[in-house]
Amino acid sequence: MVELVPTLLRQELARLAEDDQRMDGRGQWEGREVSLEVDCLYNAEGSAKVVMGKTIVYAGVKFELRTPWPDRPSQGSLMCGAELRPVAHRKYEPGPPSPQSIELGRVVDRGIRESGCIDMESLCIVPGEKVWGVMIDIHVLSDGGNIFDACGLAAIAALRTAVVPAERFDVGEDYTLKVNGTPIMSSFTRVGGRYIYDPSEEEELGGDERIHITLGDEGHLHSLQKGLRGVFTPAEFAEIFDVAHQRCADLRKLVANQEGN
Amino acid sequence: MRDLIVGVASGKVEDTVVLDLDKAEDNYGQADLPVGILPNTGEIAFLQMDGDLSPEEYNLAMEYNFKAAAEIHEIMVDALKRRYEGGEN
Repeated sequence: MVELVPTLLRQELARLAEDDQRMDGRGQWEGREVSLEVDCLYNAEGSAKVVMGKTIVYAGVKFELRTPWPDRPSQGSLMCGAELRPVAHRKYEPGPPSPQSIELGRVVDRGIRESGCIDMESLCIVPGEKVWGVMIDIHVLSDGGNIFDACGLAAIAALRTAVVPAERFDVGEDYTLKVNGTPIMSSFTRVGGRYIYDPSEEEELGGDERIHITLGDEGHLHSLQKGLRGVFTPAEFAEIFDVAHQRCADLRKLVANQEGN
Repeated sequence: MRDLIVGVASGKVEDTVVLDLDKAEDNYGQADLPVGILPNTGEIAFLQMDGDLSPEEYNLAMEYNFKAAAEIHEIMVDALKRRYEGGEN
């Protein structure tokens, strides 16, 4: 569905930006309150629910036994997909996966995969014959803006609390999935001419291009993605890169707290 | 027309930041940073990255990208000039 961008909304966002303000009273680099809950889905081997303002997403992890790819006989696999259904927002239509949901799934997937937090060799049971396939399913139930960060957070929290169901598949005892790191995504959108962190639904509607940054525990970059029309300068990127380090560290603590429970 | 956009990529292979990855380096390297650069304004219009880069490695990779974009931009301008200066067609 094509969304109409009201000129008045863009004017209002530009006016607020001039005074260094945001519609909901947040500072330029201030995120909404985030709540994270793990182990919330009965049939998943790992799961998480994230609420950020009006955004609600769930992620679940499932395992399957499969034959490895011929060129990687001692490695398991990771699959990550996201669903954007009409229930999440009126802009999403029923039907086959949309370009938006494919991009969302891939950006979350890349951040996790490229961080190397899952050792693919550790998912091998019998080389050339039997490996674990890990599937992360993400469902956006309500899009109130910045679903990328919410999905990234739910996915890594679900993964880090997942238990490999070895007993059910008759290949040993159940064990906690080994995840070496907590890659976290931070997203920025240009609104009223300047970048802001954690855009709301209105800010995305009346904003321009977006940048998604996934950082690992050591502050290393694992994934970058720019979306929508617009350009930015290296100086603008340097500023949001700095902010991303702080915001990712905050969210990483949130995941660590949930694991302790 | 304000600019000629240049597509260029750098990355990391065997812990070294390099420009212009070949197929093997792209497939088996440690990072890949393709960008679309507008050399006249110094702005970035396309950005994607995956792999593992420290902030310092990112800055170096971007420096390589901008340098290469300036060189390629010159070649592009030159080719266009040659095409139209001659007056053929």
